Amino acid sequence: MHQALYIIPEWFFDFSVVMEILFSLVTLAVAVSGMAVYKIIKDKKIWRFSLGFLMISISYAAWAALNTHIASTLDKGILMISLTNPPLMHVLAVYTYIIFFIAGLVTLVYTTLKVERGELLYLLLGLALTAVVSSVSMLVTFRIVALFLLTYLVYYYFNEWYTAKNKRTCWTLAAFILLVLSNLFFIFTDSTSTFVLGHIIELGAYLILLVSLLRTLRIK
Amino acid sequence: MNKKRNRLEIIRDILEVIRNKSGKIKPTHILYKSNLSHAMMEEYLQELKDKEFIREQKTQTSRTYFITEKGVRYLSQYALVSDFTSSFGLE
Repeated sequence: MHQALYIIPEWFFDFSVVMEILFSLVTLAVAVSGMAVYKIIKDKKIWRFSLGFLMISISYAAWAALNTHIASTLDKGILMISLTNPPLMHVLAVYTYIIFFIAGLVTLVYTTLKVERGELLYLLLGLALTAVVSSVSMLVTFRIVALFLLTYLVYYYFNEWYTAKNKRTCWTLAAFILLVLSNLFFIFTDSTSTFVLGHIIELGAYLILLVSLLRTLRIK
Repeated sequence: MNKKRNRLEIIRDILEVIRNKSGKIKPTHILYKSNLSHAMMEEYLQELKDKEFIREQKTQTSRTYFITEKGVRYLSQYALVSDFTSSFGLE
């Protein structure tokens, strides 16, 4: 069965690697800032939130590493990353990307539930990863599970913004809405243009997140 | 009407009450100044002790609470903590 992870136009390849590195750095910055706040307040919620972003950062780093590694094998024209008979290193990078991204999102969802039940985290993580890894169409299932988790986060941040009318939460809400949109583009990637659009929307999401973080840290 | 205080604001208020009393205070003063029920105050004091923001000194007849360095640090960086938690919905 053919499983394309994404279809990249050659002209966009270098941009996409730079973007993935940027996504990794932005999510890492959120994680590190969260850890700094955790050191002050010692709140487990903040620690878990930071851990979630750290895992997402690792996933983007894996994705960037994969793309950098295969850059040398890039043929002219369009590149299709596939899981059909790929080298072991590519498979490891793709699994790292998928597992850490889903684990990061599940950790964020668990954090927003504001409960202290390790069993719940175990179940959420187990179900999400089992669904993805055991699926025949693993990459499509990965995107659908990610979409499902991101949609929940949008719902959560909408409620937070709606009840508190907090402008700061509005930025985070906007970032997650854009991540949902970009995931929709990735699910329906059947041409190079949808991949590029998905990536650009994703870039918008992480730039919003970065601006929000810089404002929080009062860095101008 | 004042809006309901969140957990971080209540922690800040308790620590400020202690700091404003030269860094040490009796629980009755905290109860009076922090506008909490007795049960809620005890719950917060336990949390603050667990986080090492305050230290408790007991005698046979009374208890006294002291603000620690960590507690003072929390107050000085409260704006950062508050902004971060409200930005990411972690209050």
